[in-house]
Amino acid sequence: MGNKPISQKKLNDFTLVINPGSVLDNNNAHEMVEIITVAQDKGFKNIILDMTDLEFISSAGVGSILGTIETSREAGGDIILCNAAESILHVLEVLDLADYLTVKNNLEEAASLCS
Amino acid sequence: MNTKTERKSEREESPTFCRYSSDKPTLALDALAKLTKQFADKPDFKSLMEVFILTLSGQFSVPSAFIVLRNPERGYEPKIFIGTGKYRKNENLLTLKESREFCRFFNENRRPFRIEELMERESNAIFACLLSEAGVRLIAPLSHEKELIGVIALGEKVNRTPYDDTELELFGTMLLTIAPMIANSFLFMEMTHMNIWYLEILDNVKMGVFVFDSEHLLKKVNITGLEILDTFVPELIESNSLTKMPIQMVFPDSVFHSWVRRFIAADVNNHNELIENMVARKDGRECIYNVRVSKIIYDSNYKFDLVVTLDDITTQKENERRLFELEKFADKGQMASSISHELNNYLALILGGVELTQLALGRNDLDKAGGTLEKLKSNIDKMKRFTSGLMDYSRLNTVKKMADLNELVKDVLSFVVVQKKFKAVELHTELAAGLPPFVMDKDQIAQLLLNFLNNAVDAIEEAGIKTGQIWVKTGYKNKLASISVADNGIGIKPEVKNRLFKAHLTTKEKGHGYGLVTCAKIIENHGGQIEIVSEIGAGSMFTLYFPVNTEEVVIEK
Repeated sequence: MGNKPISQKKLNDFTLVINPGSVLDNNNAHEMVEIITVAQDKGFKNIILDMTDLEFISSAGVGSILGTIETSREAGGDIILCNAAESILHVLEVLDLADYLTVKNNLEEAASLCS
Repeated sequence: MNTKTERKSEREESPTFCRYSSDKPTLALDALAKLTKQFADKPDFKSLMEVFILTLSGQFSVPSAFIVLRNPERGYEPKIFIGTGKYRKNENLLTLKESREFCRFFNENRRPFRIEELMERESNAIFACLLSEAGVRLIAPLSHEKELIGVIALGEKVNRTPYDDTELELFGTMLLTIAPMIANSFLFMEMTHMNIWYLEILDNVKMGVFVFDSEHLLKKVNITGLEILDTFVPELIESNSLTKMPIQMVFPDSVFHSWVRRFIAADVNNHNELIENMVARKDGRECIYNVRVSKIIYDSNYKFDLVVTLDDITTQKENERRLFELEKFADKGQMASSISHELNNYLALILGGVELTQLALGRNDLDKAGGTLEKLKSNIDKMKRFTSGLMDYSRLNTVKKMADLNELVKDVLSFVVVQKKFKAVELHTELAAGLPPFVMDKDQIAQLLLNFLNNAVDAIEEAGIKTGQIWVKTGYKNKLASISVADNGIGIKPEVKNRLFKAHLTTKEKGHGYGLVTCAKIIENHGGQIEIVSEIGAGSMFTLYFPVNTEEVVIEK
């Protein structure tokens, strides 16, 4: 399974949209943490994870979100998930994160929280 | 539809939530399997530990977790801290890295602890309070083969519920699975550090080191080696990677003049070591290298490395050449001094002869005067020979004939005793009976004896002794003739003794240090040996041993 690389796009001064690619697991979880923390340090209090391409997320992938989310929330922002496939949502549910994470259907809905 | 609230209501209605208990361990196993593969593929210790922390964080739905590990390089104290979530930058927790109490506790208690239990047991422990204040909810040691590797802690879960027994069990299982991999990773890290350490040493060696594999392809070259290549084969450095470069390209014939064939021959002939000097030339640049080729066999399948070291001795060789020039120059000076020294000896002999003649004439003993004049003439002849350059010490022409050593001693002493400086000295002689004549250069041996006698009288004078004594003795034993000159002079210091026969060494105020150099040459010409016994303040004894050759031949050397 060839993985699409992590990409990022600035939505506004406070919001960065990150596309984790097709797989978020051991191989790129740490990279994801680095990207998010660098963005947070630059003042992007909101991070939208656009999971359009995401086919698989591992525990480490979930850990990369959990390990950075509190920094965003403490800054008054959030890490918002959108366009997640059913299989991804299922993993989040299994890990009992559905209540904890903010999940939106699409980018527009996610962006509406970050204006 | 998929907002946080919407998902929650859906879950309440959906039977998928029931899969929680069975899917979660599956996810954990999947994560561990991937982690194991990752450890096996690329055991990059720090990034793997970071991924492991993220895996635990995701698996247990815990935003914050950390791991404290012992430093694999420096014993067993915890030194490495890796955190996620709020522990990522928690300065207070970093003190755990230095806490021996923390380390000791988990070394003695190898099981997971809920924070409540830990606080009950260790309420006074600073580390326990620190963990509680930091929001740690579960903590467990990470062990492998009875060895504590580190400690892993998890913060509060997102749903704020306490860790149940199933989670504790899963946590324990995950740690058990991961511990051997961490231990291996430690090992790998130690090996990596050791490798780096060795490479640093290699790069600090001030000689070019080239390692080739059994197919003679380059495996490793150190910095000095690269500098050599940069000087003589710059195109190699400029090209691409040097790895796997054939030995013939590393040491091209155009620069290293067929040396590569010798390197390979050293391998083929299974020479353990080849050490020689090699000249490399290119565009007027020339370097001399001391080459060492050795072979390291590292497995039973005859796999080996060929190690070629090049030690630049160009400067050393240049210095040697300069020294040689200086020595040649010094030789000339040395020769002049030797001649002057020897001339003084001859003049002393002639003076003695004149004095003897005067005495004989004073007594009207014409026969005696005639005999003395004959000896005088003979000595003047010897002096003539000497001044003609025949006694150049460095290529002393030796004319050997059968002669009687005892007669020679008597002859020399007869001239010596009349000299003023010997008059204050008691001369004792003890000549061996039955000493056969043997082949020698009489003039050289006389010169030798004269030198030792002069040195003996000088040593007595230096000691300031009124009753100076000199003993001259000959001997014959085991086909060795010996002649010794002993005195009760000042003696020779031990540090001087070993250097006596070296040029430029003198202990005398007016000496030049060349007399004994000539003696050494004469002894060498006769295949002789010298023995020196000396005691400071008591005197010295020089004994010469010559092999007795009784064959009547004239040997010119």
